[in-house]
Amino acid sequence: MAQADSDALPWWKQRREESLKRKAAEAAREACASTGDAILIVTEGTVTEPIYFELLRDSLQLSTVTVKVMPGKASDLRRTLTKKGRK
Amino acid sequence: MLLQFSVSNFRGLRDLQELNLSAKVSDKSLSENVAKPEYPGLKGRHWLKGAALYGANASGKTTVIEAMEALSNWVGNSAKTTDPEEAISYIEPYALDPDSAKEPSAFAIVFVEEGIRYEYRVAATRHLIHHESLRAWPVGKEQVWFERDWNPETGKHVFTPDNPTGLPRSRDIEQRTLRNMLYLSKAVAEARSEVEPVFRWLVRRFKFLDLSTRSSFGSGFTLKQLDGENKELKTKITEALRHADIGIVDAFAIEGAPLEKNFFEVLKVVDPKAFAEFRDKGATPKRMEPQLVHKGSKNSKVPLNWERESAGTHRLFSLIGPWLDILEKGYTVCIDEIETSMHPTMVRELLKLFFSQKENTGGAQIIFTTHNPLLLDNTLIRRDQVWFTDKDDEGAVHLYPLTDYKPRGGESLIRGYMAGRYGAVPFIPRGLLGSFVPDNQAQKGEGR
Repeated sequence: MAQADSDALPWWKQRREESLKRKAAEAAREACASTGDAILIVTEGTVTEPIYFELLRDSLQLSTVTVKVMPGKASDLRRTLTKKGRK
Repeated sequence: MLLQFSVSNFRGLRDLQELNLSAKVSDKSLSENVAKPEYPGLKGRHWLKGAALYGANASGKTTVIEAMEALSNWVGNSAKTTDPEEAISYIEPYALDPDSAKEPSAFAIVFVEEGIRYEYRVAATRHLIHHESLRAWPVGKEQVWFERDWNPETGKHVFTPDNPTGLPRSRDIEQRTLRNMLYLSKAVAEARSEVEPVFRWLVRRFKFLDLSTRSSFGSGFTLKQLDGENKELKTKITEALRHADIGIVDAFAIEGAPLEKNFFEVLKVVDPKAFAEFRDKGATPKRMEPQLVHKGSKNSKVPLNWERESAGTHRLFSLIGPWLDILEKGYTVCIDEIETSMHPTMVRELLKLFFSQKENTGGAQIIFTTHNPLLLDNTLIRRDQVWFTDKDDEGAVHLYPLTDYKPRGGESLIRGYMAGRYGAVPFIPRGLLGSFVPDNQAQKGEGR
């Protein structure tokens, strides 16, 4: 019971770490922390799939990944990625 | 020296947020950026001479600084309270949650003054102090100087411990401290000299400079120093301006053009008291003005009219005096929007003064907010000096250090920051005026 009481104390009344060390990172932040590589996703659809990706980016507020939708007219990867293949 | 600041339920800050200035001892980069004092109880620890707060617009960078300033001003002014019903204006609870207004806003600050570490905590609503406490570490062991808690049943504050080490109790002063008044401030006003160092640091050695475009940070301080007695400081100011590569070779304080007649007409309306003072003296007051001498062609020296100097020069001139003063006196200074009107290189040089062993001998410290990614440079600041602010989907501000992330060894922090890898950048995927997916298509997209 005494334990539960002390847990319920607001932070400013609690005994706190005296060493003044930095707190460990929140789990969510740690998970984001590994630096990402570029991933290329090629889709066949020119309208629907780009919308999927854009909506996904917006609804998840993905500021840690950059989703770039690059429409191309060629189905060949090399041609899509070179300027000629793009619209 | 500031070691740690914690705050909750203040403006945009809802849950406990903490700014911690301990340096990572294993990080050997830029050793001049850390101080290595041996504080009792904290042997072998290193402390940062500065920290940078990054974040998008309206992300809460400024709020963190404002929280520190509110605490400082409150401690400075609290003893003047005469009305127990008066609202504590410094307390501004989190606005986006109606329940927060009933909860106390809370601050805790750990700092060192004259080699002794103190921790001061306070929690209060606008009308009532719920908790206030002061701890000190003159030796390695903690001393609780006082703890004061509100007892709702008796309607009085309860002070503990009964026989504190370090600060003998003064029941008389306790009795006379109003429920909306800080005991620390009251004790200082009642000449309890033991707590004076705490008050002095919080109120006078913890400084706030507002350089944002909203402020009218004037040239007065530097000007006074140029006009003053301290020759060494005068030389330093001139030196600094000369080295700033803005073509200045010398600086003086000169008597400016006499005030125009209509100035007094205006003054009579806006500040009758000052007007009366001028009138009583019977003379037009001397008006001092900075005079900078520029290098002209063929080694000529050209004095320029102060009004014709650029905004950046005005800014640098206004800043250099207080800056050198802070370094000399060893203050902890908080600066909002450091880069206003100044080139990143200039900001860099100003920061370098703080991190230089030679120039910063008094233990001065700087905490600044900025948008400028160019300062995220590992030849200027260490990784553990960088902090970010970001708002979550409920509008509450989060404050977190870059050290929460584990950037790769050679990773460019500038690129990482701009790419949003650490958060704290605006989310504007389509540009400010970009078009959104038409509604009917969006619905289709969500439906599947």
